[in-house]
Amino acid sequence: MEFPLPTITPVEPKKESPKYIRLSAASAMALRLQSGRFAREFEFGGINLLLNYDNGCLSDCAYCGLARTRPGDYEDKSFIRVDWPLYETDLVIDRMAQYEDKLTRLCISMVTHGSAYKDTYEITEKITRSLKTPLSLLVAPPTLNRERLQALKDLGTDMIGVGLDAITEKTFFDTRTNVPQGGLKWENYWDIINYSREIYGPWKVNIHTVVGLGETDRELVDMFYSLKEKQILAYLFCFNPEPDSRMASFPKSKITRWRRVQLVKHLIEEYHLDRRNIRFDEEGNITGLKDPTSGINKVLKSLDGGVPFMTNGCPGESGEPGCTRPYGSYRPSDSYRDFPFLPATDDLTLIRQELELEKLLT
Amino acid sequence: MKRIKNFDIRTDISYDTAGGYWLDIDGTTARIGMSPLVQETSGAFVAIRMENTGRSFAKGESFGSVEAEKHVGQLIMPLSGTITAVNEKVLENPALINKDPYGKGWLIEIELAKPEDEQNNLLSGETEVSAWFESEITRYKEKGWLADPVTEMQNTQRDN
Repeated sequence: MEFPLPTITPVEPKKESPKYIRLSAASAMALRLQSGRFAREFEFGGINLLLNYDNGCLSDCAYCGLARTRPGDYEDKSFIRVDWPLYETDLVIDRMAQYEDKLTRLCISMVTHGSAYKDTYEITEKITRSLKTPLSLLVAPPTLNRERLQALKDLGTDMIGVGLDAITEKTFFDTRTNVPQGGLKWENYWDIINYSREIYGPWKVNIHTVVGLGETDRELVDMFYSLKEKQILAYLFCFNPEPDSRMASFPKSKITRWRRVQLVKHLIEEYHLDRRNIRFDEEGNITGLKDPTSGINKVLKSLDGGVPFMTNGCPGESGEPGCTRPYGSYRPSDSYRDFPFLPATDDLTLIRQELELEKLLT
Repeated sequence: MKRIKNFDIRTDISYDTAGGYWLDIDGTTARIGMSPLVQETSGAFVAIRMENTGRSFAKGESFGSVEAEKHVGQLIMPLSGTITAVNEKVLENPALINKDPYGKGWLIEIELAKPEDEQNNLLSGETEVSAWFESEITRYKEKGWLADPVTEMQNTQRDN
């Protein structure tokens, strides 16, 4: 034996779920676990929780900050460009109870991990036992099946989100490498979407659709009609390159394209816009709306007060915006890609310019 | 340095109460930075832009902008003057404002344009500065911009 003996560094206990959970920066602020403020003042009550594991998420999505192959330790990785601070789950639940009168919607985001279902179950059980605020789950399909979804519903969750993100099979596989043990399947994602629809009911399931992963507007529009028919919600997200991710150097979706997709989606969902009235160019970009009905013309004039450009998220108990993810798809110094509140008059003026509305109607 | 409700506050320098800047004035020059309370309630800074040395600004004009995770704001001149130094380290690493607001996180140095006229509007003196910080902390707490400390009860509940 050689002397002196090497110094032994004690192994720190793992800070993993279910005992620990990560919170979005905005949620940590709302629960007064972290100081801070928003660039514009507004009521915020949508709390986003994220499971935490030392070996991280086993999925490998080219655009995601949590991707398995993105450099860095999981605990240091950002997600939608900001840090997600880690807290004891019980402390977070205490704080949610303390500030429950201000909360509108809770959501647990799973990651692809062998313990994710068990831990989501445990945390869900604790939350629904202590709080009345509606709880959604953003699920990781490779970790679930029909029975597990039913068990999560039985615990009191009321909505399911699926991070499909890439809306065609091609872009899905272009932007993801396989999960270990070959668990990544397009069909698996759709099975989970369809099981969720059966179990949770109409308009209780949402698909996260990212604009800017290589899909065309035509494909997005097809998806909006298809989901509407199934009474499934489409939640739009604007691709925003995450530093060090495989798509870090990819351009952000152009603002005109993004605004037009927001507007057309709203017209399809709320005003039954006929597909034949949407014009596309050869590359599948939306170029205009032809022969709009008087109802749709009215919406185009008023932009429906800005509603089409608000964040798509699960609602609060009375149908009000619940999960609003402020600055999730853009930096505070950028113009709002989606608004966590109703856009103001000045915002609408800017949106009109960004849409190039005149060109859209000629 | 005086401890006021968990904040270490320098009471030997002046403050611009409108923007929450501290000013360490020496004759006709001043070093300017952000008060610990403003940096704390802005959140973690991720980007900063400041104008170059040699540029002159009137009181109230913007000399740059700063961006935190969820917040963005203009940097506003608390006094008229010409920038004589910009903290390059802060430009490289804006988080220094959060870590050391009175030290390594200073922003600019200026040559004062109206040293006698404008300084009367600044707040100084231990009693005045302490009272102002106490009321500001209360106001920021009411707005929900300051974290609540983890209570003993929450700790005890978790230990049991």
